[in-house]
Amino acid sequence: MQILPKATQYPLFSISALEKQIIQEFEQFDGVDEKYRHLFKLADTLPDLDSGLKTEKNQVKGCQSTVWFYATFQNGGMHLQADSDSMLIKAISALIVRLVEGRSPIEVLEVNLNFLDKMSIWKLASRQNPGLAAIIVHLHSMARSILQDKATSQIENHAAT
Amino acid sequence: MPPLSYRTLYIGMAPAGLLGLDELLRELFDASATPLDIDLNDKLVLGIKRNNFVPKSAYKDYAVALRLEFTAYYDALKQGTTPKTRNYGTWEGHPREHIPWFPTIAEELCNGCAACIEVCPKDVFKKTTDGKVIVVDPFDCIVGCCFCKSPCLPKAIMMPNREMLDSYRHQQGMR
Repeated sequence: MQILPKATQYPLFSISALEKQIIQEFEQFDGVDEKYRHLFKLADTLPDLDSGLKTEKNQVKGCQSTVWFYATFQNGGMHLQADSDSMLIKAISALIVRLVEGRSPIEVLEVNLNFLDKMSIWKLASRQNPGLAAIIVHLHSMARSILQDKATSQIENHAAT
Repeated sequence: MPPLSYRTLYIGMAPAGLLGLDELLRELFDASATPLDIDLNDKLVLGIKRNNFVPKSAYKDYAVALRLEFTAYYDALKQGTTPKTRNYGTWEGHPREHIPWFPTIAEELCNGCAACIEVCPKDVFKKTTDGKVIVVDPFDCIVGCCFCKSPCLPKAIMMPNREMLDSYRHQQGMR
C-alpha cells in the first residue's frame, strides 16, 4: 500500500507549477472585468483574520492598503492567514496563501509575484509596484524569522543534550 | 419625440441623475463649442438646467463635472472615435453607476507622473495639458479594484474601502 505524504508536509506541486495553474485559471476569462470578478471571488474565499491577529507586527509596511499576514509553522510547513481592507489586495493575498501553504520557509523565500504579470490584469509590472513589493518583503521576513527560530531552538536542544 | 437620455454623473462627491446630458453634449458640439470656450460652463449648466434642477450652491461643481464630460466627448469625436457608450453594465445586479466606487485625485498632491494611467486596466484616468491627471471615466473603474493607488508615490489617489461595498450590499439586502 502506497502511503502518500501529508499534503501539509510536502505540497504536491512546485511553486512554478502552481503559478502556471493560476495563470491557466485566469486564461479562461476573456476580459479584464471577468478576471477581476474571479479575483474578487478568491478574496471572498479567504476567511477574515481574527481581530486579535490584526496587529502591527502582522501588518505589511509600505502597502497603501492595510494588509495583515499571520504565519504559523507546523510539520515542516508554513501556513498563512491573511486579510486586507482592500478587495484586490485580499485577492492577491489569497493567491499567496495558496502558493505558500505547507511549504518550507526556504521555499517561501523563492516566492515572488512575477506570475501576476502573465495574468493580464494590469499593465505595470508587479515588481514596479511598491505595495506588492512590500507584501513580498513581509512574506520573506516571516519565512526568515521562522528559519531563525528553528536554528535557535536546534542550538538550544543541542546545548541541552 | 424620443425620450431623453438619462445617466448618473458625479457632481462634487455625490451622484446626480441627469436627463438629456447626451443630447446637450451633441447640441454643443454641433454648435461648434470647444472645451476652451470661456462661456462653456454657462452653456453647459444652463443647458442641463432645461431638464434638471441645479442648486445654486452646486453651480461650480456642476460646471466642473459637465466640462469634463464635454471635453471627453469633444476629444472622442475629434479623434474620429465614437464617444463611449454609457452602458457600464451592472455590479452584482445593480447598475454600475449606482456604485460610488472610483478614484478621487487630490489635485494638490498629484505630480502628474501618470503611473495610475500606466497601471489602470481601463480608461479611467487621463493626463491634462497642464500635466495633471484627472479622472475622466469614473464608472469605467472596476468595482473593488484599487490598484492605481499603489504606484502613486505622492499618495494623491483616494479609493473607497471594502467596508463601503459591504455596507452597500447590506443596505440592498444582497447578502
